[in-house]
Amino acid sequence: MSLREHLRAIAETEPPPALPEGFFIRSRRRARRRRLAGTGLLAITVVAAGLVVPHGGGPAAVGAAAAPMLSELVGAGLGGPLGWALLAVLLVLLAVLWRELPGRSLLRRLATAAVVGSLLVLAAPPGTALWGEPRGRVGLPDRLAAPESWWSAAELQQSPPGPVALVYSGRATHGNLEEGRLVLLAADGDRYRILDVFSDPLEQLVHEELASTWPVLSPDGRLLSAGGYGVYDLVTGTQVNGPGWESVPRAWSADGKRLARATTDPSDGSQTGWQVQDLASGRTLRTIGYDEPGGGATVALSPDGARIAVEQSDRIAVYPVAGGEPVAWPRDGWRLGDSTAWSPDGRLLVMVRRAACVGCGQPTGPSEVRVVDVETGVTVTGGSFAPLAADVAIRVQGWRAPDQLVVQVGGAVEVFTLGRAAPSRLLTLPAGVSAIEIATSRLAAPLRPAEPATYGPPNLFLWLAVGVCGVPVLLAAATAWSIARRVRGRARRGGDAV
Amino acid sequence: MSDDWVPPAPNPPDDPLVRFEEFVRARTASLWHAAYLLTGDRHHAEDLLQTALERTAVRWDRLDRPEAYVRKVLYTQAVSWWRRRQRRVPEVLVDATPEPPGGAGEPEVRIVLAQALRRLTAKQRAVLVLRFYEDCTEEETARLLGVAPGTVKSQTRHALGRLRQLAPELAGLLGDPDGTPTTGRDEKVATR
Repeated sequence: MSLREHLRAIAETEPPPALPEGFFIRSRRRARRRRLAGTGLLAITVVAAGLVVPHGGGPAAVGAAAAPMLSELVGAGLGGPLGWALLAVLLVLLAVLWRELPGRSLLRRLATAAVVGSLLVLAAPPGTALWGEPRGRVGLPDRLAAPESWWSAAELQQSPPGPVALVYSGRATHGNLEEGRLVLLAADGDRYRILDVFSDPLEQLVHEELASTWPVLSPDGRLLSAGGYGVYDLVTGTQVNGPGWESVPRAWSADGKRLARATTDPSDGSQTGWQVQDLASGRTLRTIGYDEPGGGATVALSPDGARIAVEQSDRIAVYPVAGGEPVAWPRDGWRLGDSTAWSPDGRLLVMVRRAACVGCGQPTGPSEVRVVDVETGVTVTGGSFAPLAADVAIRVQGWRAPDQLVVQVGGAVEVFTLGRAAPSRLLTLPAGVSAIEIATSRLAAPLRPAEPATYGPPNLFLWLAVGVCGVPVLLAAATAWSIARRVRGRARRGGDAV
Repeated sequence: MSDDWVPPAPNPPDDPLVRFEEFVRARTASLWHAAYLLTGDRHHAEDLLQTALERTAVRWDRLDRPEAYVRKVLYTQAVSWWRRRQRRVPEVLVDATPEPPGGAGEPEVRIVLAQALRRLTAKQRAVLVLRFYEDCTEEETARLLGVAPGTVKSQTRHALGRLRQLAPELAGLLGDPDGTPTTGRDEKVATR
């Protein structure tokens, strides 16, 4: 017998199988389903890519253009319920498309797809919350996150947190290369982001004798002023530019409609006074010049933006923004309690006395806080408080209630209540955190239990590290596998020697 | 290779389902033999044949030469990397094999040959089946597998060499080391 005949004999040892009933119709139906599933998968991928890749105003801006309920769903991009829905649909589609492989039951395929999907979610670095982050929480957390390092947290430009409740910084947030890293906490959940700048905007107050101060956050927590690095919109992650944003805002009205800026001499950049601006129209409402050199660094706008209190050499002057003469009184070494000094009813001002700049190496004494009447400068009843510790940062956050003001005192945030000498503790700052600023609109919010912190999608630096370290490993593994495959194939072929 | 399937009736029915079923009835046995030789395992051969017929069913309306298409799918799927990853052909040693229809042959040779075939690579098996079972020329084989004729020649030589290595007792059947086995169509093989 020839080789052909032997091959035929081998082939005929097994009888041919019978095709199942309805094979033709079922095959065509399966092909139609596959096409449909493939089209659906492609559509979902395109939609997901459009949501994830920031463009123009970012994913939040895309969501805001949709109906309110839809924007709630897609506003977080994949970091929300939409992410879970897409994952579920993706897994089901994969299982459906996969069913054409031989020897696998549908149940096993679904189970395998579910396991793989779960592993993908669980494998995301802790706290990155690749598929979801907390939202919709009300109030300030009773504890701030303090991870070992912030290097893997997402940057605000990469993953905007939306309006924030507070920002903080200190030795614990500054890395070796990130001199001025700020940590931002979202207003509606324990979502943390970072901003890396060379010079920490919050540290200005530590050396307040050497540099002027400004509020880092707008009252609603939507804008962040990083000093010379510009103003960031925390919803879109982009910088705010245009007329009126050339200089740093030095004070905000509580309603966020007006702000105060410093005016400068174009020839040498020295400050010459103050300017109140209406944000909606961009108009300058009032310009106040320095009466004499030595004007103070701090200015505060009343809650309705109708008056502005300025430090002037030896006095505090309160000007009507609409025009007219100020009400002035001697400050006796006291200073305005930062740009948030005005009480909600516009009748009181917080004054602080800091003995010297903190950390400058100069001898200091205890600091003090008091509340005075705007018209007279006289301490109101119950407006005197016990002296505070020496050599600690004092930063007035604002008013929590008509009779309660919030002040950072060293490593804690305290609530000073009129009529009580000693403050009560609102928040203890983590070790290594030396500066905090709470958005004034959140000061009245209740405290809530802190939830596990999330830090956004993996930091770009993390991806760079994975690429630098991972790509060579993958290449080496692929090369080894390819070589092993060739060696095995050569062994099976037996070479040309025969 | 045999000419493509032609519908038996002078006026073939319009219904694609009916035509497909006629095609399956007529050609399954031949296609099954090829599938079994390519895989060496009944279950995998069933899977391979079913895959090929399923694809044919999906494209039935657009096919002028359905049998050529089915065979092409059979051979390309048999050698596809993905399918080979799914498949682990077991080496099953049997003492005896059922006598093939048509009477007694050389069962020991068939057993040895069948076992040796399983130890070839998928491409080597495909080339051997096409060249020595389907009786394809080198050009036809190359076209079907989507490779160059030179590759077919070298794969054939490697395959036969490997078979000689695995089963020296088949040397007489497999012919000279230069790749000209003794078949019922020697002259045809030798000249191609």
